[in-house]
Amino acid sequence: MKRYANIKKLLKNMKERQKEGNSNDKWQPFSTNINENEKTLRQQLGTSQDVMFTKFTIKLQNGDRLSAMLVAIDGLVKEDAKRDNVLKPLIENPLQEKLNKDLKQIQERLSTKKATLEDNLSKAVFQILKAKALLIVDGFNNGLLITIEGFETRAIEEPDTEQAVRGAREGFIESTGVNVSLLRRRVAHPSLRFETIEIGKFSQTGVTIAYIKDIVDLDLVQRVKHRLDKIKVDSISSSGDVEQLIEDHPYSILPTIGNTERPDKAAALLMEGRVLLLIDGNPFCLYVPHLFLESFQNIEDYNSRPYYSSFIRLLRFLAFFISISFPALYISVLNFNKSLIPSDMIVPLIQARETVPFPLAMEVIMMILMFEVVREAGVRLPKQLGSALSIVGALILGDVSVSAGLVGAPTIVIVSISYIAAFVITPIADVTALIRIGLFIASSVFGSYGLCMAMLGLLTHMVSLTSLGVPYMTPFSPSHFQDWKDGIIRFPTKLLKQRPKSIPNKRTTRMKSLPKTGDKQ
Amino acid sequence: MIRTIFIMICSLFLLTGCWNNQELDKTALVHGVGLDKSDEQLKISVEIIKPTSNQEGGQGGGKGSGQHIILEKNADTFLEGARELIRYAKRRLQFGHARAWIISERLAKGNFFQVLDSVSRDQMFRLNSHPFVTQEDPSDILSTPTLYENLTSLELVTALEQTQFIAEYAPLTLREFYKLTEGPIPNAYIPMISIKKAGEQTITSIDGTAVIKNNQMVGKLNTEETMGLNWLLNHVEGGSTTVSLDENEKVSLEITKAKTKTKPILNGRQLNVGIQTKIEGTLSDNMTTKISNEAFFKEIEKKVSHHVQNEIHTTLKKLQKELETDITEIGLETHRTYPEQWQTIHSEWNDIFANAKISIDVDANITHEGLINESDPREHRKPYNNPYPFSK
Repeated sequence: MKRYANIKKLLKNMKERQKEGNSNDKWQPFSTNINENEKTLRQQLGTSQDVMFTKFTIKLQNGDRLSAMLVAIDGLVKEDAKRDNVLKPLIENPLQEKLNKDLKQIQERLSTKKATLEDNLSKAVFQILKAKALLIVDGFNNGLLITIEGFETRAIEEPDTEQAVRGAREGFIESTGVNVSLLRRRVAHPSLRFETIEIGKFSQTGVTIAYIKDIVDLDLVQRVKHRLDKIKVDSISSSGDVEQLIEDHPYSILPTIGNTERPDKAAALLMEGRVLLLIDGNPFCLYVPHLFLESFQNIEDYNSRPYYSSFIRLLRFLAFFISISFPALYISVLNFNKSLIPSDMIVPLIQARETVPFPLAMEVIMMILMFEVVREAGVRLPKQLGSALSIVGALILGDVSVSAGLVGAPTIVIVSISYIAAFVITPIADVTALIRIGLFIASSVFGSYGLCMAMLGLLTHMVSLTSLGVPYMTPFSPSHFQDWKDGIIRFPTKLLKQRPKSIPNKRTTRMKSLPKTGDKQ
Repeated sequence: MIRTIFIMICSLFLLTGCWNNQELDKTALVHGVGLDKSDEQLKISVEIIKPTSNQEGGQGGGKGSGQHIILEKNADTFLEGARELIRYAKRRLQFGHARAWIISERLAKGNFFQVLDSVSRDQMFRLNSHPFVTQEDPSDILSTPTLYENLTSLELVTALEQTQFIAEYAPLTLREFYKLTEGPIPNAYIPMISIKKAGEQTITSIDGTAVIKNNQMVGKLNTEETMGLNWLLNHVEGGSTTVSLDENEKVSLEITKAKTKTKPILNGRQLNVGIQTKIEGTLSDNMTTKISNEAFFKEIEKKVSHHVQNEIHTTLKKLQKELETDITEIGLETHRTYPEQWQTIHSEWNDIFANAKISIDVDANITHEGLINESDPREHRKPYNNPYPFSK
């Protein structure tokens, strides 16, 4: 009974905490007195140096003067826009008529992007912090939120993570506004919809959902929105946070939500009926549903001829298999099924093994860990130190350890091949590292039997995954044979008339009619 | 979830698998096995891969010698010997890579089948390894210096893959050997090897075939007779046939296609066999001065047919009259064609085979004559395709 009471107390606490999380929407009216308002604002915003209170007076034609104030955050608003588009029109020319109850006349005077009336003071405070300027005038119990945002953003660059030889050179940046425009330029149709939700009590991170209304399955959008709504956290620091908070399987080693930095890929994904999540402050946009197959696809596949891209796709699948299973196969053949080694290969293998003082399993696991260390060092190291790393990595690990007899040359070859193969499939390269170690341990204990069992386990797990309700392994399981046209191999573009069935959508056909092949007209 | 995983892992221990986890550097990998008889005991010699890496030898290739260890041991059974050899080898012997089984003639004439019992019984041995019979001491064969490979037995085995170019030996794997001996006629053949001197080097050479009848070696065929055997077995994939037209005028035919059909006709106890061989070949070596024309081809074709017919005939004569052993396809074909009569003639098969009337029909065809027409200097000939007809 006591325990039950404890649980009740916990639940109550949780509810209270949830209420606290919603305090941003608290209702707090403006005062008609400007000084009163200023006092409240100063109290709420504190004495932070970046908060600017600009006091000025608005002249009326009848000679009256109204004191007014503009509140904005330094660095978030454009200084010249503030001067030319807000202050100048209000100060220089006196307002003609007597002002009504609201700030309509002033609103009409302003030549800014957008200006909206706001009654709620506490909401206005948060809007100021989100790069809006607040105009309050003495005698009015509301404020005008003016959009003159202008903060420093990075230039649009080609993304480093997803390079394409033949493809757009634009990449997403940290500002959602720019990212939205990049998408809008590619999908110029009213059906492309954006919806923004703010997540994080303190960070107030804008998460923008993008989808094409006429294509997407609205249940999916609903599901995404529902999950996002449920997030009540202090802050969202990156897209990875959002990804792991809304995932179906947050404890799986495989990611069930994809990410991309390329707007052209993002637009193509929208066109397949997916939902994008643009997270403010992060150049990686998330997309759901994400399928296993997509790790092997690349935007460039659709730009080059179908035959070569099919070949490369097959190669990627092979690389995945090599990457996860090579060390495991190596040890199961060498330690358990020696008869499987080709006769000509056994002499060099046995000679390489002879000098190594460690058991094979330890030798391989040592190499795997060392490669992982070198990789991590290479990613984190400042570029100036890169050459030192390559010398240490290549020379010490590769060459000297072999000649010193600490590691056999075949082991280095096997481990290196499995690592290089992983780099072909960058989206799941980090996952392959884990699978590789798992399979390796299984087969170093149980041989090829263990390898088969671990593979089966992995496959079982993969088949059980879903990405926001969509099976992770479609179109293989459950099978959609029609989608196999753009699966392991890519059919010529003319044959890809149907939108993938694996991803729920409302519009099955994506090519209505095509020019006849060899049409002479 | 955790319970499921736990049950899965536990069930791993219940199931069988390959539990012979053994480090590669803790095993002695046997590549060739020699079996001999000495003092009513079995003398086992093994060729083990020498595991010490020897950089110069490995890279330069050298003569390939010094890459193996030869050990010998007398024992009552094969398994006992294999286990007792651990005392010498200091490591467990791994027979998974044993590719060559070299059996001495002394042993082959006795009861070598019982010796090979564990080879077919144990799962460690590979059935795509090759048996050989030798007149020498098997350990001498194993210690012959190699030409290219690191191991003598590996080199012997690679030689057997060259049947596309030579038909003078009849290779077979242990699997085929067991298939033959467990078939309707328990006879088989095994290639023979011997040691030859070539210049200063001793080399191994595959020549002849041992004939096995009822688990015992009863005789041997020489190289020409082996060729005949290959014709009979329809094993010829390539090779050459040389015939002489006149004295010192010889022509070689490169065989590109060959097919032998065996057709037995059983009349009570009398067996008539028709053997039809079709050969297609390229005229690849013409040491005559004759112009290659239709008549010349006809002549060669006739000669080649005759030559092959002779080869087959010699082999058959030896098998029928001297050894009274059927290692050809004839027995199998008879068994297939007359499955009912086979039951009655089965026990007398050797007799029936020895008295069988065999007609051999060889049809040789030259399909290609090489790149030139004739071999002699052609000064006297009209330059019919001279691109510069008016200049000299």
